Amino acid sequence: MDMRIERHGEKAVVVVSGALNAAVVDGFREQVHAWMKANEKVTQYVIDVSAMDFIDSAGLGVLIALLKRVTERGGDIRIAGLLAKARVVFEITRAFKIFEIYETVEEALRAES
Amino acid sequence: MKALFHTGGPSGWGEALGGHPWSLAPVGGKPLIEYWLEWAASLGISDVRLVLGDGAEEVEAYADDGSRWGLQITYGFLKPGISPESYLRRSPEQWQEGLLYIAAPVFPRRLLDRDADGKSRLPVPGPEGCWLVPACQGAAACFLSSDARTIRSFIAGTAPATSRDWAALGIDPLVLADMKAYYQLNQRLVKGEIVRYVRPGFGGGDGAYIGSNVIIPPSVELRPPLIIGNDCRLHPMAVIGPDVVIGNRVIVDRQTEIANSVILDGTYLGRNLEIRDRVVAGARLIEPETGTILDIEDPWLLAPLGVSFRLVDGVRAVLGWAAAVVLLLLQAIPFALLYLLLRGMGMGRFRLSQRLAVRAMRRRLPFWSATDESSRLHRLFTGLSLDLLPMLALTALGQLWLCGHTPLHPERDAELRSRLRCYYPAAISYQTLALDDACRSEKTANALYYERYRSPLEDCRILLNVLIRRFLMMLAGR
Repeated sequence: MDMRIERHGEKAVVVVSGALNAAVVDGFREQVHAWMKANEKVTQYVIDVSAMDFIDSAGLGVLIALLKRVTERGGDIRIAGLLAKARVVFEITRAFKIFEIYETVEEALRAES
Repeated sequence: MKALFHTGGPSGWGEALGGHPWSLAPVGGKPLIEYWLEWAASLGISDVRLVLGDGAEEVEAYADDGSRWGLQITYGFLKPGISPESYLRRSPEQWQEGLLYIAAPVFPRRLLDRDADGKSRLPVPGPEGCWLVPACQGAAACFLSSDARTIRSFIAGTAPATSRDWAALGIDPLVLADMKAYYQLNQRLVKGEIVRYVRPGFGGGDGAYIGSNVIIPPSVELRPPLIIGNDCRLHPMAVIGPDVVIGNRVIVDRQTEIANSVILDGTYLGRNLEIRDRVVAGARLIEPETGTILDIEDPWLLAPLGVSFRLVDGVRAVLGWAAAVVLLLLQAIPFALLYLLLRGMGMGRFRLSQRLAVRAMRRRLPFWSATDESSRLHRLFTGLSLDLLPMLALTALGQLWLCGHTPLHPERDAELRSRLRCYYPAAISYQTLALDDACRSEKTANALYYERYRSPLEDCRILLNVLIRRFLMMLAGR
């Protein structure tokens, strides 16, 4: 799994590629938390998963934990670019009802909070 | 009159059901083959020949000698690629008194209600003409006749041009051509649109048919119509229905909702899921409209439930673990010495490669990679099988079996993985002696062979074969 975080004004885009699974969630969580701590003004996040080919329950769990952390600070997390396989995991785990899902990062960034 | 049922042919959709033969695919809670056998019994046929192909063992275990249906079942085998009709041609004279023949996924939909006394006799076909259901590629999916001349021409491959009206026999054979047809038939059965079947399970007054040994806590919500098979367990706050068919040996974890879906035998559905309009077979999620298959590689979400776990696997696990620990202890000191030397001289190192470990979890497994394979030190290292030590350590930690399948790559070996009903990623396999990973057909053959013939004795044979042959190869300087 590779990830990078890009700042777009008051928003940030977390680009995730590869597999977000139990083997990598700890590293992912630590990196995001560290970035959040260094950029406390950013409260709106878009997770760009258009290059994420696999997600398991642990990966989903870390996204939900991040959502909880961000919403506690008055922010929000949106998911953009879900591939078919990950989309099904989002569907059957009801994550669709928790996250706002967008087709593209641009749409997610444009959407009103 | 006799019946011949061919259970091994390709169906176009049965392969998606996770390795089970399509003839055992549950239809309204009963395997498809059971409807065939009931049809034969209702025609007064007692002599049934089942021609087996893929999944022969399972079909035979299910149908047994046929006494459950008042039938006498005998078995035959047909090699892959040979047409089912050719089986008839081996001894055509034995079918001349009458033949009921099915060679594709056909559901014999009954048009007549059962008698008041519960018997289910159907009109026996007259001596003239035949009843025929053509399948794709010109072959017959279903054939019924008691006319010797017609049967002879059918066996000779000159299928009769016209079929008589099946309705006269009280049957409407439906060819389940694709996953959509299979799913829709299940939905029709659970909704009660086809009411002429004794559905399995208790109850039924409110449209809920529940099998034996099903654990249902009070907080589970059942929304009929639904069919639940035997030996199932529903966890608290699960919501089942409406229009759900659940097979045998299914676990539905807490707070999971299922609606308009078919759940096949031996499936685990994880916690807090929502399954709608799907067919689920083990870890496989199928979208019936399009036939799209998705394997969920997360046992916390979906998983097959020990599809064919046998006692022998438990014995293999215990013996394998003990042997791995013993080998670890024996190899630890020579490994430490030689590995440090090899690393120090830059002659090799372990490379991590992502593979599927036990429970199909992705793990990075260590594989020895030498820069100079001709060196004596390397030959000593591999000749003593010290390169296997990290894998043995993983075996001791329960992440691999000692002997079994070579650990498969999640992407490159996806096709092979989908063909294996049971997967035992192991430190040592038939492939351990292979010089490279390139021979895919051999890898497939080995994997399928091991799946079928695994046993503690076979594990012992693999282990000794690898250790001894590697040692001899070292002595021979190869």
